[in-house]
Amino acid sequence: MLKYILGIIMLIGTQLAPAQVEMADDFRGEGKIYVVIAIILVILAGFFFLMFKLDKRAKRLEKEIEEK
Amino acid sequence: MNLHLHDVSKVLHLIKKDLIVDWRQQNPITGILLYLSSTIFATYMAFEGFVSTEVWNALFWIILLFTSINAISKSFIQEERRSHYYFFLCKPNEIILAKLIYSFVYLFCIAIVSLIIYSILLGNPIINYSLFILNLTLGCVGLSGAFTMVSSIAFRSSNRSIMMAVLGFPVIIPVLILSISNSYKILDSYVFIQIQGNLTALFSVDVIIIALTFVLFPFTWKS
Amino acid sequence: MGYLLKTDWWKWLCVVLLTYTVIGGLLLPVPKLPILNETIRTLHFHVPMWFGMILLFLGSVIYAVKHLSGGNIKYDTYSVQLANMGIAFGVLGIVTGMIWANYTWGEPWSNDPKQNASAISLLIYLAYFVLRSSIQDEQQRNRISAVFNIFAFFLMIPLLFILPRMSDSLHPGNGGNPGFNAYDLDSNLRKVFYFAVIGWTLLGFWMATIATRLSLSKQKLEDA
Repeated sequence: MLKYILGIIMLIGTQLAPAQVEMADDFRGEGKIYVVIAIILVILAGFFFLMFKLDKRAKRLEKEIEEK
Repeated sequence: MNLHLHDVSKVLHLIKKDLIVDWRQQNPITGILLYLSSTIFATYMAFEGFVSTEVWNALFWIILLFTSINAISKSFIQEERRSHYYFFLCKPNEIILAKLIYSFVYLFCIAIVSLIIYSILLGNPIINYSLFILNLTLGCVGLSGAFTMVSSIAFRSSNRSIMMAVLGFPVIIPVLILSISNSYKILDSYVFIQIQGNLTALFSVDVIIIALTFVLFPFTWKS
Repeated sequence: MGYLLKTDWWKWLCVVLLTYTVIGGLLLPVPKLPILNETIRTLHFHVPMWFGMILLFLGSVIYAVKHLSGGNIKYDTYSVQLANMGIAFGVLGIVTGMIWANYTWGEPWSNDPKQNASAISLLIYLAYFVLRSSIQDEQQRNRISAVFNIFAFFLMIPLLFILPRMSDSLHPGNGGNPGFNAYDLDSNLRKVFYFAVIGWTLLGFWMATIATRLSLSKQKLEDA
């Protein structure tokens, strides 16, 4: 436990001003983040499509058994 | 729950029956006592007699945990053949009350015996006996209550001894960590006021366990 | 669950919320903190797993209670499928948490009370499935496992309050942890976080309804 607290205190000591914290600002500035978002959204859309399809199939199965 | 005099006598009879059964077929009690002493002796050999207070405390509770799971698992499993009679004779509330009282007394006796053997072999750092025993009592209420309920669940499954451990250990963790930390603080010469909050927490966990047991037991009983 | 099985609108809500979570979670400004840096965005993906797990388990317990009081076999199926999905969320939460912790706290498992609590709740529900598989008689299995479900869940609740008191947590909100406290109140993160929790939880319930449909159909086939 102590080593975490010490580590955190040391890190805060070296980077007191929040502006100095290194973020992926260049990466964002070049607009590459949109590529990442686009890819994740396409994957998400694909999965949602599959979920809806699966849902429909399960419902159809339910109905078929009901009618029997 | 309103118990009439008639019900109280029934509960007492059930407790007495458990006592007589255990007394007649002595091997469960002897078995548990032997289990206890050989575990403690193995610990003694492993640590060559010297342990720090922290290890003393943790080991004591771990030994108590394993002993209690073995001691209490029998409470319903041994009822296999008799359960049909009770089903017609008694209400589930009476059965579980008798079982809870009996397994608490049983476990408390085991705890005291283990404390004696343990302190002979591995030393005795207890300063404040009354507080230690108070915490031990609350811990035993929790252990015996939870394991009695788990035993009534495991009783219905096909591999009982494994189910006892699988179902029991995750459920017992709140009682265990509270009583271990309390008892460590007591050994570290804390006074009552300093650990009052933790003792209350342990007490309320005990209350939750017993309340749940009373509500849920009837559902495991009817078949 | 009965309502969720009949309606569809909440599935679209789930789609919208999760799309928003990805866009908002990756684009909106976040507090600039040392150690965490950009990984703070994981908040919208890792933490909802834990929330979703608890909510799914809660649903499972509610149906266990209903099953015990009413005895409808349908409720038992709901309860099982919700618990199943809860375990999936819990495993994902723990694995993502370990990856995140490895880079920010220096090791995958650091005896953190919240990590321990989620591990214990997973153990409880894995035990629930072991118990189910070890009882042959169907009615008895449903009833006994519902009893264990309720018993274990109500003992898990005090655990969530007790564990953090026993030791310091690296998670925000308790323990000495200056590096994380700042984002507790950050309004930019909140703009996404709450919606992320709802979105991911809805996804869990969605999958549970599909599994429930299949399981109920299978039961009907076996009965016929």
